[in-house]
Amino acid sequence: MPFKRLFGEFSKGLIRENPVLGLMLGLCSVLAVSTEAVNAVGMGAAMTFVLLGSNILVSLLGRSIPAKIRLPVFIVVIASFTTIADLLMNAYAPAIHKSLGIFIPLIVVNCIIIARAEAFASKNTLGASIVDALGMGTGYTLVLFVLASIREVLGNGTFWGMKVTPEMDPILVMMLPPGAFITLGLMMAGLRSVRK
Amino acid sequence: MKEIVRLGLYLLTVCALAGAALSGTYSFTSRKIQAQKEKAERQALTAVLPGAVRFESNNGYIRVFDGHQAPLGCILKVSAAGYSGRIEALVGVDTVFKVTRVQILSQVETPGLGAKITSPAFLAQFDHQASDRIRLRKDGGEIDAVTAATISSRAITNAVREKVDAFQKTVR
Amino acid sequence: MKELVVLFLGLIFVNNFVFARFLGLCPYMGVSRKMTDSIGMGLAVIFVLLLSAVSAWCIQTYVLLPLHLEFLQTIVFILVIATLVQLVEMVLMKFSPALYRALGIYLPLITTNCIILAVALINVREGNGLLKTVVTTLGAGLGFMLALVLMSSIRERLDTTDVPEALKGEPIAFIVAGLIAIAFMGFSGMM
Repeated sequence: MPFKRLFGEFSKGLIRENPVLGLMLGLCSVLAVSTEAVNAVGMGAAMTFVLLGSNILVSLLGRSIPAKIRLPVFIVVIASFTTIADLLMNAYAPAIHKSLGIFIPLIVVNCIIIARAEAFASKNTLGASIVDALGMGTGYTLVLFVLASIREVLGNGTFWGMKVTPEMDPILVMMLPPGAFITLGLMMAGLRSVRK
Repeated sequence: MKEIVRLGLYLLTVCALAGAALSGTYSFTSRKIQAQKEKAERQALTAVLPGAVRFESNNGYIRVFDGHQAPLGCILKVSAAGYSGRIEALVGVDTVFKVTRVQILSQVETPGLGAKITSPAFLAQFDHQASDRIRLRKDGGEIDAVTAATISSRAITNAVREKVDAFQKTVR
Repeated sequence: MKELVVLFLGLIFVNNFVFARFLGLCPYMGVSRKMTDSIGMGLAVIFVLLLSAVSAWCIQTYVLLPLHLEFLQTIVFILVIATLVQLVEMVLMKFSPALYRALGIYLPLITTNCIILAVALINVREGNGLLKTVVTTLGAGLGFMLALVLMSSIRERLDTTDVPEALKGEPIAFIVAGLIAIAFMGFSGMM
């Protein structure tokens, strides 16, 4: 597959078809997990892992899935990868596993993953599906990381756990739900005006 | 009819494969997970009663002894209803029923607010306190609540005091 | 008893599952344009929530725990939810075709609504008994419906006002949600 086309598939997940800001998917976890930059990256990695596994498996199964039970099969595949991610994180990254808490199993209902399985992976080649997963996953992680960084720096005075704003009193509302909503809304508006 | 059987078998196969993959991952990771859990518990126990060497579980509390088999005190488990959920904590009490240290095991309070009850600054207030002093300052005691997180602070403060009092009664 | 009432009210206002816990956002963003649709959606979600939370609790208590299969929680719960949503869809199609058409695509989307799985998981992870599970679920569902109704009435108004181009649609909805969230934070004094 020509490199240019592959790169196109990857980069669409970053800006043009960014799953969070453009397609408005996967919102619940983005808002909840974006209190600290570390959590954001951990969540992004977990989600990308599940998305990758799901896209690969669905692409391989491809046409063989009977149309009527498409959805249940996707769900079983995604749920399995989610549980695997959950177990692996519990064993090898317990601190992040504890911070992310209930949002790790909630990856299974992350609309991005099931949307990609339905709209892309089931109809495309293995190579394209892998790249698509990586692109979408990276796009998701990027948004999450930017949002979390803004919230952590402004709301907690730290970045990645290290103190960054020594003199200023942090703007507490950024760490709370309202801060998440408003910042995300502004980010969406920002992306839209940049695209114009 | 035949189609339903075919669909059912396909789904069943997928589920069976998934189940196998999950069971495999589970047995691969379960020992590590268990070990992590035990390590965390051990660390939490020693953090609460410094100098602890031997632990002896009793009914509902843990007796702690130092390197010379002398009793250091006991460790109590506290569970409080916080603002967003349960707060689990360990409380160390010395031989005269003063609190040695409070360590939060788990909480789901608001990040940046109630979650600050885990900060060393807040918890240090409990060190070497007798239970009659363990109340929020606004309730007549000596513990300063976390700013704008009165509910979380009060929850853990009262739970610690009540547990120590109840423990004192059962042991006396 | 009093504890349950406090829990119930707390879940609707103080710990609102949409404004405080960020759950149930996807349908919240999409459906919330007409008030009547929101109420219908809210009721459908409450119904599915109750069924799935109770089913999940039963499965956890009588199957997963005794057999030490807790790690299958995620996959079992989500499959139960998917099945329940299918059932609700079939029932609605038969008894209220108007509502079925109004909810359109959002009905199957209830399956991927994080609030359903989240409530099932939260109840099970906090070790709630059956009664507390039902109370928690009802509180969560009513809070969700409240959020939906609030947003739909505001969005009906927003659609007719002059909003800067970049903010139109979802961005302004999020900002409004943030403002509502701040307002809801005031409820914490209630506890």
